[in-house]
Amino acid sequence: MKKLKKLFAMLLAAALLLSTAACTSGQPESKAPSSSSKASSSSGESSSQEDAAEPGNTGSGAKLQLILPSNSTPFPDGMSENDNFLVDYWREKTGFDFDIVILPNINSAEKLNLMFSGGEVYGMVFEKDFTSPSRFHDQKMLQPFDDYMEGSYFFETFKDFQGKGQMDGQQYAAIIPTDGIPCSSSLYVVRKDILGTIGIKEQPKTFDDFNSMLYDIKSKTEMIPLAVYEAPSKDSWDTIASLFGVSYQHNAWAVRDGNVVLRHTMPAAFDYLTYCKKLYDDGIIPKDFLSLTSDTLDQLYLGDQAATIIKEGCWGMPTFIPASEENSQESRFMDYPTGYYGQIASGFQDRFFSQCVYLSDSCQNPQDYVTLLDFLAQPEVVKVNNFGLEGEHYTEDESGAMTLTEAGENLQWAVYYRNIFLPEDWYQVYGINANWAEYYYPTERHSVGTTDFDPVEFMPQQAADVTLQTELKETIIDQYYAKAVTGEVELTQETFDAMVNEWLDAGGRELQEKYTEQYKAIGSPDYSHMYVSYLPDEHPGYTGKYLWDGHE
Amino acid sequence: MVNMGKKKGQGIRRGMDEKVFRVLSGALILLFSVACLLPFLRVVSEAVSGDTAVASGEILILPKDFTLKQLKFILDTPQFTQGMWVSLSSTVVYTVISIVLTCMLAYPLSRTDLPGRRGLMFYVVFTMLFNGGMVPTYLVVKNLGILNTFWALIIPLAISQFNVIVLVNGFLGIPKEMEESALIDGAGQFTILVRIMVPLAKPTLAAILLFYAVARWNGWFDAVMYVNDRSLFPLPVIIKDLVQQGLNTSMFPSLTTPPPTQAIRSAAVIFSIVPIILVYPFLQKYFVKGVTLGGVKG
Repeated sequence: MKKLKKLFAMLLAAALLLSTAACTSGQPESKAPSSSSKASSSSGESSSQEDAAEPGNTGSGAKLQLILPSNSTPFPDGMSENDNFLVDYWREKTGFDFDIVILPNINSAEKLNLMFSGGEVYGMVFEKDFTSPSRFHDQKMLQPFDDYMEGSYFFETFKDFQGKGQMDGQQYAAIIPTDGIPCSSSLYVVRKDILGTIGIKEQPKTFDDFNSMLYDIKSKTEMIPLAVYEAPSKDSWDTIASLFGVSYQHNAWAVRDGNVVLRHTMPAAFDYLTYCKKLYDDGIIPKDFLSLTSDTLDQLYLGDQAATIIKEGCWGMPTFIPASEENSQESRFMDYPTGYYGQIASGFQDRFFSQCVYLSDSCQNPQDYVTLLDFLAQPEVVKVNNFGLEGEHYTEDESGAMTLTEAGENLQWAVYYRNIFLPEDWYQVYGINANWAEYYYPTERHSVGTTDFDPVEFMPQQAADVTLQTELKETIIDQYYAKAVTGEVELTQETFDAMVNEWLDAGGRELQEKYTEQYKAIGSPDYSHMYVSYLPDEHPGYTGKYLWDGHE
Repeated sequence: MVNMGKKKGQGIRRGMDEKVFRVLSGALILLFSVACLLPFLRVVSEAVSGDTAVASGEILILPKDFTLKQLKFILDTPQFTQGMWVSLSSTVVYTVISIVLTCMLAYPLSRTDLPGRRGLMFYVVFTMLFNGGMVPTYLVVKNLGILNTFWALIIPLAISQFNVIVLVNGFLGIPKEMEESALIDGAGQFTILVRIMVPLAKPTLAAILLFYAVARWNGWFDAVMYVNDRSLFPLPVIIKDLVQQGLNTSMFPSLTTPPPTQAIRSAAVIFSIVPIILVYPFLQKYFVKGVTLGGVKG
């Protein structure tokens, strides 16, 4: 009996070891197809030998996998990502079936990485992170679109944008243009009622006016003149940085004398830092600004402790402004005054590109996916995806203005399918019908017409370069900027230059040189024509009621 | 003061230093308790206060402009109730399965006469310290055919090596004579496990049950990685998503709904911890006793 027990125990131990070995061997079943299937696809011919219900087949009923970017909007009961009228419409019009996967809102990059590594991705990915294609390209998990671009309606229509998706001379990512709001910047929100009590009836037009306003608030009230938080090299300071031409909210690079340079290291950045330090020393900004958060900043303003606040974008405004009104505050968006050097101050939060789309190396029918992109780019399909079905979800008058029906107002879930979304549609769908106009269009005023563009925004970016840029910013630039303003490090030209040199030596020089070379290679284009407003000339739905003067 | 039946004036006298120590330690514990309770109280207050009062930073401990609007919003939102259901069901199923599997692994490992016991224990401890990583684990889950299913929330983390070790030590603490007398009576190993070891190891099992239940209740990362179907997302995933939306005001939001207010985020957090708070008092005594009983012995 004892011997049997021992034998059983040994067998159990062996089984455990063997199961461990088994788990680590072998390839995932759905790995990349053979090169022969790729060759047949590249010639444009369908390879329809397999059953139509199997994924990856061409022809009617071929199942296309689409991995869509995350969003928090839930589907109504009875609907799902693969079961709703929009996907049914796509099925009916294209003859394809769909396997739609929506990435989660949290850890979506890790999830996508796992799916690729696990061989779960056999179709097309729509992504908002423009470094994502380079990550998977580096792991050789993508295939280019080049063989399928000729004659494609999508690539012909949006050909001006596709440079951003090229890697190693091939089109690994298809770039979808703006989702309608290319120019969105930071906002000054001010207590107009408080300014009125201290004799400021007009919003400041120049840097000197703005500076005087802040010091008047300081001397004549008990309030903090300007509420800001985090290091001055970060996005929340963008409106102040823009006064020195070093605005870098999502646009860290600039062209100076034909070279691409980082704004944080430009000579004007030293003037900016000097000004920030003065604001700190004179008590114009909170002494504990480094430990504040966006929430605590709101509390300062809404709690009548701060007279001016910088908001990084318009997205928190639908709750912030009503809360301010409920507190009997007269809050207004203030226009950017002219800058320190007399220039027009411009802020940026560019959204020139909505999404990038890329194909898995495992995809067996790339032509079908390009056909789908062509379909999605058709104006009538864009209209259905964005507004629904006429009569059922919206009505349209002779002027083209659209009014959503009750069913149309419950189409929030369609955000997952609005992958190609033209700027003119934003005004209707989100600006007017989702009530964003009064909050968004005031921010656009500070980016439209700028000539100080960021060239890197329009070029393909390698994930490794972005990682290096982020790391250098966090370890060198953010640290110096914070310490220089608080006095922990003496702010002098020497220390500033030392910081710049440290950044250059740590990898910044290579980044600048690389981007300069890339920029010159494409002809050093001027992208300032991209900074336009899509607000229609006639816009009855947007009044500008939160602007200083209360109207657009 | 300990009274051992002695007459007045004959009890144990505590020196001044001991009194000072008791006062100081009491004060420290009180301070620590307040430090733990205050943030929780604030979150509760924010959950039942008006939006504007919360956004204006007027809430410290007591609510202002009392309202149940936020909690009602949470209860009326299908995402949250669905997430609660998934969390509850997955926690119950996971806990039961995990306890059964842990018992079945811990019992033979607690038998000192098991051949290869050291090797098996090493195997368990080794996997506790080192694992294959995210990608191999994902591949295992995928090859088991449970990706994007309810079982993806159950099977991959069904056995915790730490809990196995705790239970092994718990079983080791049971006198061997109990097993021997059962063997004499003709009981098999399975009967001994079910009728003798498990009942006697109840405190340890209760502690492990709580560990498993809380781990599953709070777990979100595995759900995000292994599940695509949003109707299978447990509550922590939904709460984390909500909180993250609200914190990142520069992030391009859904555009179809305004970002969640601080009050709503607080209400969501309270909603998620209510079940644990309701259950924990009943298991607390087992928790403390079980952890100490399951402590590593020589």
